[in-house]
Amino acid sequence: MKKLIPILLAFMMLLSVTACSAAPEAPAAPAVEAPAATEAPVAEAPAAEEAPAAEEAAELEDTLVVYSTHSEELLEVVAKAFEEKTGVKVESINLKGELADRVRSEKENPQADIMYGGDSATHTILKGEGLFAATTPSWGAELDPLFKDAEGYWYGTIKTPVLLFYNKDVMTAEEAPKDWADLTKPEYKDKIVVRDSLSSSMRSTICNLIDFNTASAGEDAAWQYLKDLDVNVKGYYNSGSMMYAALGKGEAAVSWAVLSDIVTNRDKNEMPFEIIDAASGSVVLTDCIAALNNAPHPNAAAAFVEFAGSKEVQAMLANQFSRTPTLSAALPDCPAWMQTEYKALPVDWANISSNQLAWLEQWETDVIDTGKNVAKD
Amino acid sequence: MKKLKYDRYKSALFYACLFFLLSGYILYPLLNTVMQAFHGEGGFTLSVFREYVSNPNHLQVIRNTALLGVGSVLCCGVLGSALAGYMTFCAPRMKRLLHIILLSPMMIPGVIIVIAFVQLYGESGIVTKLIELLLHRDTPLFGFSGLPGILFVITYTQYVYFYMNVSVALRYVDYSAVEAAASLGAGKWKICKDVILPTVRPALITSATMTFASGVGAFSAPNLIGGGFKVLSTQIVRSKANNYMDVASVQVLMLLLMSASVMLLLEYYKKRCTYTRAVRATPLMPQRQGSARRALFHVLMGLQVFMVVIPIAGILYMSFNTTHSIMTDIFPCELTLENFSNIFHSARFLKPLINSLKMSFMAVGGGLLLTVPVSYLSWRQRGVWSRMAKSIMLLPWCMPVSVIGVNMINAFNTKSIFAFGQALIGGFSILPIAYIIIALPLLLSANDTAMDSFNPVLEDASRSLGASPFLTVLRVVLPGIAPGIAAGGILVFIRTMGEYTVSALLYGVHNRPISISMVLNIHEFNIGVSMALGVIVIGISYVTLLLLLKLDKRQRPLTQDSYSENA
Repeated sequence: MKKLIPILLAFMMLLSVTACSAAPEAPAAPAVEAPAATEAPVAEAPAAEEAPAAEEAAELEDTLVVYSTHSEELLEVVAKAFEEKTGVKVESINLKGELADRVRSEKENPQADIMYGGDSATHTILKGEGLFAATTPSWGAELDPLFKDAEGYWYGTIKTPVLLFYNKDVMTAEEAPKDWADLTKPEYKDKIVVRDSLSSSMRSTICNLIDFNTASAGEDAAWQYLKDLDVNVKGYYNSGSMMYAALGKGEAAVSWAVLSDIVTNRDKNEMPFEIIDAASGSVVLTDCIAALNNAPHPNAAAAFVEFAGSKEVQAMLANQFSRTPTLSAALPDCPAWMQTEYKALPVDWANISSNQLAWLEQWETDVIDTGKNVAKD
Repeated sequence: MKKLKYDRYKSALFYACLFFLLSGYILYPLLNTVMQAFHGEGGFTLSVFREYVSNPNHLQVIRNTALLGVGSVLCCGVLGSALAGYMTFCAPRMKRLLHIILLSPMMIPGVIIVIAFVQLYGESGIVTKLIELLLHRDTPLFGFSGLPGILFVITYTQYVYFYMNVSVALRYVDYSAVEAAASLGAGKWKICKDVILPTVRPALITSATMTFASGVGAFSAPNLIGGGFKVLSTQIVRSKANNYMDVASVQVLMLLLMSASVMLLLEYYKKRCTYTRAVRATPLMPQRQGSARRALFHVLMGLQVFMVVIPIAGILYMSFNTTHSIMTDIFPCELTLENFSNIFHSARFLKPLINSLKMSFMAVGGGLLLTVPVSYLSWRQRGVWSRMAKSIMLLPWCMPVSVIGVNMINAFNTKSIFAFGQALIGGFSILPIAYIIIALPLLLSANDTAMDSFNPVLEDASRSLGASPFLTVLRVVLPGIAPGIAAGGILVFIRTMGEYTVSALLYGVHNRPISISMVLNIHEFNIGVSMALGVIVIGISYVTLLLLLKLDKRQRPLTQDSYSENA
């Protein structure tokens, strides 16, 4: 009798595992294989970590789960191409700003294999928390060291410039600002709208400006610049759509945003935007990819990193989704406008990443804590 | 005697299961959060807490939050109760359709509603520009931001709690008592105060609790149009973004304390004014005779209905416009069917919609399964267990939904005994479970409001006439409280269809809900598509509700109408 109980329990657990993994799955996956697939990675994970070189030879799992910040349209295209190439079925969701939190909270029991998207600062932090597994994609060596982790825990696959732009129906090219320093001039009062401190492009831009201005004019001047800028900013928007609508309707004329969003709104939504190549340079972010530690499907994950960063896929994303490649080998196959390289603001990224959080907290409490929108009422 | 003992075993078993679930899914995660606020480097500490309240900026945030909560209760209370009175006493034309339309602000995520409001009342909004044209001004008459802007949005979207609960309570007002009071010479004011108010009071208190909780926890409106008006819910996200996790947990605790104290206060007040019901209640009849004051009321309420409807109409109109026009024109006018054809040609559309419907029904069903027995048992006999169960079930109200989501992740990202040895994160079931947890307080109070209004004499009569307890519940109690239960269920259904905050935290590859698709489309600058999705969800919810209300109508003759015949 006593022996029966564990057997019964084991049987029940097996039942529940099959039931649970079979229920939401498509009928294509046979129910019997499901438990094997979920149990396998526990045994394989350490092996994959020890010998990353052996990964390519290892057999790929049936499915792959991708957590991302990229649009579903983009994910669908990449997933389909990967599926055609390897036969691995990709399930992906766009978690936007929740991505890092989600990956962090699933640390004990990862559900996803890949973190696809998010800037290099975020990736650096998550690497420090032990969330990533190192990979060795074949194109890794070609990549500029600026775009990758020295130990191979993450790789930048998309260059994301943050550029100044203006609505040319509201402002002429002569009237438009030429550089970041112009933004504090009195003529731009209430002409600027930007994203709020929750947007990652805004966060990086503020830090870049602090670092750049501190290096050229000292720390006090850097903070004074931000305060003067705040005076001219008409509103901080939580929603990108609302910010672009304010620009489109002429409520304000000048803003800065990631290049792919400006291009999407200019070309797809036919908005009258003109991009400014700032004289002292623009902020250039790196969108990265990383395989997760203890992922359920480590072999497929390594294959996906290899695939998503390859020059073919980088060029494909450049042509279909206006994403600038990090591999210079991919550039020749990209649209013409991408060939003009925007000058990057000369900043010390190491200095930024160590001061980032404190700077942002200070910016938020001491600079934009002025009740701007309320005070105006 | 033996029967009674058996009954007791049954309810003991029920409570055992219930407490197992409640402690695993509500208590443990909550304690987890509370402890975090006191968790310093050397174990238990109050330092983070002390540091937080010493900063005047932080105190301002707390004051703002309280202000928003109280303001929401007052504004929503006036609007919701007035609308409920209007629908009951004045019985406007097409009452049932209007009733469903009045529920629609809850069916779609806050982000979408706020964008619709901005499209109407923002700096370049249609209404703003029309007023400017009419008054020959070139600056906007009002700024649609800060506290007034947030309150405006909350008033015209969250009034639904008051509206729904007061509507149900008004059904139980005894018309014969009103007539008796009138014939005894009571004026209209006195009748309202002494006859109608006592019946409606529990509903008012319940709604006030719900609205306060949703006001202080409101995220979309303060986040999108709050400007410098900072509240706890938005600051929590910012603290987290800057990795100030200890500050975030103190802020969460503040929010918890605020909602919990208001809830306790109102519950205490509710207990103090119990009211015994007449044996036979004659329902109020809509009055149709006209007077100047009535006409004015009609016009005023008509205007309010209009205010509620135009954002929804705005969403409908935008769904037929190109995103280009929505984003650049003050009066969008590039009509197109592209948004809808885009949706129907996409393989990603149908599944989220089915997921959302499925999970909304699961939330209602699961929630009712847990709350109806508790309401009934506690109504029959106030005991320690039922009171405890109720207090725990009401707790999710004090928690901002995002906190519930984060706690679910922390509790179920490893194998848990409460989930029978499984890790729920990433699977299908985590989201419906979270929806049920969020639904519990709402369902419980709706059930309680219904039970409070139910006449205990009817049950005693049924039992003394020889019906078994089960039969009595099935044939007498349930039909009697059905309108109240249905009201709670409907609220939960529409709120779950439009739920975004928890969904964003917990959804995975198997249970992607439609609200996620809507908001992602906004992020990806497909405003038109997002609005079209909103229209589809509203349409489906309308059809579902019309069907539900039909069922409700078929059941009512069993209870209320038979009284009016007798009277």
